[in-house]
Amino acid sequence: MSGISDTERMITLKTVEGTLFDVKSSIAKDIKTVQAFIDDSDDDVTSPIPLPNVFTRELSRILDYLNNHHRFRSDIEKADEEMARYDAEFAKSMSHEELKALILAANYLNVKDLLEFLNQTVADVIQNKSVEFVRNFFGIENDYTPEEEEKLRNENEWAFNGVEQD
Amino acid sequence: MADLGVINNKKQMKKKKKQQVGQDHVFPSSCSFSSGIKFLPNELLVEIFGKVASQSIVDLCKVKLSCKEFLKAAENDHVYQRASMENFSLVPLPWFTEQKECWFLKRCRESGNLEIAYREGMVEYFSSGDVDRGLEKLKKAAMNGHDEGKYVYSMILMCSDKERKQGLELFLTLNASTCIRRCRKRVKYFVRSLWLNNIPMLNHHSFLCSSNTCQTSGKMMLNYNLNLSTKWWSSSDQDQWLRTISCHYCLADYELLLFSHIFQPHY
Repeated sequence: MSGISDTERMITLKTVEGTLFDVKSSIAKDIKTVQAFIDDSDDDVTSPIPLPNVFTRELSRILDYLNNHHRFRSDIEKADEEMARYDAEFAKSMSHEELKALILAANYLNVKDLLEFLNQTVADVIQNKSVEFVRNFFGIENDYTPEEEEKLRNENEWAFNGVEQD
Repeated sequence: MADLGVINNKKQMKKKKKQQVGQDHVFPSSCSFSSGIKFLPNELLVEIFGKVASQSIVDLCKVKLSCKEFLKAAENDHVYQRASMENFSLVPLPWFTEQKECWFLKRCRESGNLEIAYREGMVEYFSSGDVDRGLEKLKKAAMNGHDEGKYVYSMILMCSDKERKQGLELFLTLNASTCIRRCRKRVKYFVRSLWLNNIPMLNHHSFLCSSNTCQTSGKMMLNYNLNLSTKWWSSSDQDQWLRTISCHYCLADYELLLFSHIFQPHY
């Protein structure tokens, strides 16, 4: 294993700001959008791959996540525990804006596991919160008329009732 | 550099025509990086709301109440497929459910809700004698990523002679120890609410691990009996101990013993 990784090919990614990141090709494999680009080009990719929708802040966090997960996976015994701890820290360290920006970046780069994890994080953030909190979190306005909202509340009332009874 | 223009004008994500990665992955033009209305595309909202629904129907209702666009995304089949059935009884009692609730359940069922498939599969396989149909439903839940469904289906496969290998592979995809413990606990709770007619049989003469070099091979039965007799052994102790076992086959053998224990008469 180590023999291969010593000479592992590096791939350079370029963010919107023009920052360059060197990435091991084994890590790039998890970034499906980048991998598709590499697969599509006939010769070796030597010049930086431009990522027109990804900012430096997001890319550096995504690479951090991928590098750490690769490291955990190489050590089976402690993998579960350390990965869970790392993920929890990662989720806690993000502001709501950062979380949303990361989701867009992970979606664009098509990093499946990370996107799953981030989506779950959003679900955790809005758990047991008010409708107003959900609106604030996503930055949306209420576009229902009072009548529409009332009707919808009635339709969904049973779900709320069930909770109170428990 | 042309790319730099985009940072200065964050409002609109621009798309360079040539030499760009993932042309089919571009944001809709209405997408904005500040917290504008369409900040997440519909497909992502559907994914996120699926996660929300799998945790709580109440949270899903709050999402629906936030705005029209979210209501639309939350009505996607994918969301109903993953909706939590936590507030509904394990074995449904039709005369206790309100009409609106019934409508919701019907919609979930039609969308292929995994928890419903899992529950019906459990009842049919272990209780009402419709073994084949039950197994089919458990398989469906398992293959679509339902954890307990995966757990039960992999155990049933490992109990059979022909499909042990498939079962083991499926079991190993569940490998995070905390996930297995949670699954086992929930399956146990479910099984104890059932009138059992079909009890999975273990083949005690052939364990999955048949390696000559494996240090734990053949010792799992002994450990299992030992653990049964020492009731003070907490589940975290057990996890600690399980982590010292590096052989996947032995872990599966041990889990099978625990699984079959669920079906034994309890006092």
